[in-house]
Amino acid sequence: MLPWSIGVVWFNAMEVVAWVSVWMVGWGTNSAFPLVGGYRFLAQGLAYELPHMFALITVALGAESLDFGEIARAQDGLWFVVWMPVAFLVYLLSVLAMAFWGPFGHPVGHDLAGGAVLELAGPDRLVFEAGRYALLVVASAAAVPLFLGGGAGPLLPGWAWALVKTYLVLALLVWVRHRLPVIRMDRFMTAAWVVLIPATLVQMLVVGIVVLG
Amino acid sequence: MRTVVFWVLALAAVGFGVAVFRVDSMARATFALLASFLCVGGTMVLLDLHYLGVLVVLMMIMEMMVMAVFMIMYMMNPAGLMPMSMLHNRRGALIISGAVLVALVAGVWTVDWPERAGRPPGDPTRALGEAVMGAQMPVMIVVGVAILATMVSAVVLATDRGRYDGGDR
Amino acid sequence: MGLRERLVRFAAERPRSFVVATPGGAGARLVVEEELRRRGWRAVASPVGADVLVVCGEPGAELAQAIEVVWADVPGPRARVQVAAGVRREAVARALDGAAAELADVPRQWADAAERVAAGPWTPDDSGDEMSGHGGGHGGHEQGGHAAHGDMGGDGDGGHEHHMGAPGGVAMAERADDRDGLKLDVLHVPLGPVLSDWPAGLRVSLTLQGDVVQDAEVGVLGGAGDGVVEWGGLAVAHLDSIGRLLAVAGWAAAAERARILRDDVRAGVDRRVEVERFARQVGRSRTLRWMIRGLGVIDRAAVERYGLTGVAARYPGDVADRLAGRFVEARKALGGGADVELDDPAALLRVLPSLLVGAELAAARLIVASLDPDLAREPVHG
Repeated sequence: MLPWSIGVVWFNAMEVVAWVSVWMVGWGTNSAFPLVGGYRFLAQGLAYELPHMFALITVALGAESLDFGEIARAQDGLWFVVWMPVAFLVYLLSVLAMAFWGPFGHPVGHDLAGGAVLELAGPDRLVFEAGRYALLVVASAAAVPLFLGGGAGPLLPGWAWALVKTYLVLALLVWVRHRLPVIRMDRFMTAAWVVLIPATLVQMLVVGIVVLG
Repeated sequence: MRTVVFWVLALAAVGFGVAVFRVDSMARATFALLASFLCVGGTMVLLDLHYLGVLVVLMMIMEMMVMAVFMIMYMMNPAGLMPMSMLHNRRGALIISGAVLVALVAGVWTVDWPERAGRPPGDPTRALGEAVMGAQMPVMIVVGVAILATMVSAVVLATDRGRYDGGDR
Repeated sequence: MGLRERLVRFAAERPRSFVVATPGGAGARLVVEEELRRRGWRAVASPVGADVLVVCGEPGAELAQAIEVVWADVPGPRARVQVAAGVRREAVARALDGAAAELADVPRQWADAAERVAAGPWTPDDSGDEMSGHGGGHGGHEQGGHAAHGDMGGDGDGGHEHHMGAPGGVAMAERADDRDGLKLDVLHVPLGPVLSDWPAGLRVSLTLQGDVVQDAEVGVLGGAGDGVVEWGGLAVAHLDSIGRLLAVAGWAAAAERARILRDDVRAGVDRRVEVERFARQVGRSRTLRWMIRGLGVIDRAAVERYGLTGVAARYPGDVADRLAGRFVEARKALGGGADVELDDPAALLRVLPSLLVGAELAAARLIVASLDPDLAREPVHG
């Protein structure tokens, strides 16, 4: 019943469900450190969500559509990553933050002995971790139609290029994980609201002017 | 088919709304409220307002989680472990909500609903947006961003230091 | 061989291990960590995610009690390894092989599980005293707070336990004023003694409101044994502390590199160039500096007031300054520098509460990791 013409908004809505699940794991475990971990994730959500939404809006504005397929097709001449670099960087940052992985893994941080995941064992932990990695991979894969031109590319068929590009995005994220310590929200929140939001708004303005012109 | 789904969602929305007042735990009340809103979002999807429906889902999830932060922070007994009644001014609330219900039902039954002329628009969301905001679209967008800027500035101005000691402030 | 046997062997070949350090057992811990890395057995941060519990050194009575509590929380299948303080690599390898065999021993694990099920879930009456999270039966249980073991959490449903103020027998949290003029819940959470990348034998009983520390009480749980630690050089000790701080700061890759360098230096390999390069990489990281800047500031007045010695005294400032200081001292020690005065753990414990109050939980852990007091009875000789 849901046409995919609103794909981007649907993607955003489903990713926000992760807020609920991590908080519930932290709260429902009835233990101090997981509770702190759950709340760390909510703070992280508040920091990354607005820049993330503005980045998505920028992409939708540039393609004049909310449909993933349309957006990929609209990058026929020029990939969005070229003229929306700020949106791309913010999107990558939000991929890490929404999957609370790598530099944004504070909710499940080592300093709290695993944070939200501390008391999970066996199948519970397996399902949680599988979900987390799935979220990471899917969000990285979504970067391909949003910024990297979808399946466009010479020689290989569309699906193969999509896989290659997803792999490259994931490789980039893994590299970033090796290079950076965990970023804590009590330091990052100011930067997120005072730097990232204006930056994405300016990016959106630029794209809007280009689209109108 | 749509009718069945509508009734299921409608009854679920009301049921979860009642559950908000029946459960002891603030966390459960938050999620009951969230479930109620999700049903409302589902109803909007049924009206072919897909964008608005999904947007309601998106926003309500985020808002309920922010509510979880404040509720657990400020309220006593957030997990409902102590049996404590959290209803205040029961008579007044019942009277007011009963009166509102009566007014709304009266409105629903007495208003002259227009007959459908023509077919539903191809993009109901766009049609709705144009009908509601019409020629003032740029104003609306600018006002939205201005509200965001105002909120951020207000918070920045209100606290000259963060909650955490030492270091970055 | 059936599918089940194959799966059991696969799972038991690379179990996750949780390493418990005791004061005086640091040498054993180094050997164990190196052996675990050599085998590819991942060390995890939480005992709940572990299969093998490795206790390095001899714990004292209280610490042993804390370890028992942790052991009771390790979910089956599980194995326990105890290594003595002066252990060598071969003994550790044998012990770990034994642990792997124990994990693969399915009937034994089933019997262990049946025993635990028969013993029933934890109830508050077991410990015999009230909820004070400071000690009592919990003995500094790492998870702190009022962690519900087993199925106790289900009691909250509908509040059918009608003890006034004590649902399920565990008292509700009280409220107290906080700095912003609010009245918030107070939680007593101990950090340590069994916490990963935490000074062995240290227990800091925190009074938390939210995740901000309102009060900190420092205690030491001693180890049995003579307490002499064979570090193998000052550079090794500093690289170990650096690794721990980087692990607490969440930079797992850098922490791993620090530990590899530590083990190489301990084995006698010349790693001066690599340590230099590593120091530059960590020093260049702006993100790390952004995260640890301004935490746990110890100025010269505090150095004198508390009688601090060692890294905290020679490099006054925040956590970043102490990290940089450790790198400088490690490089000097590798270059054959003269002996330097080492940290006096007693003084560090005296300054700790004043540093921790008002800090957030993550900051508290970073501050303790930057000081990294060695609580063995004899101080380390370079």
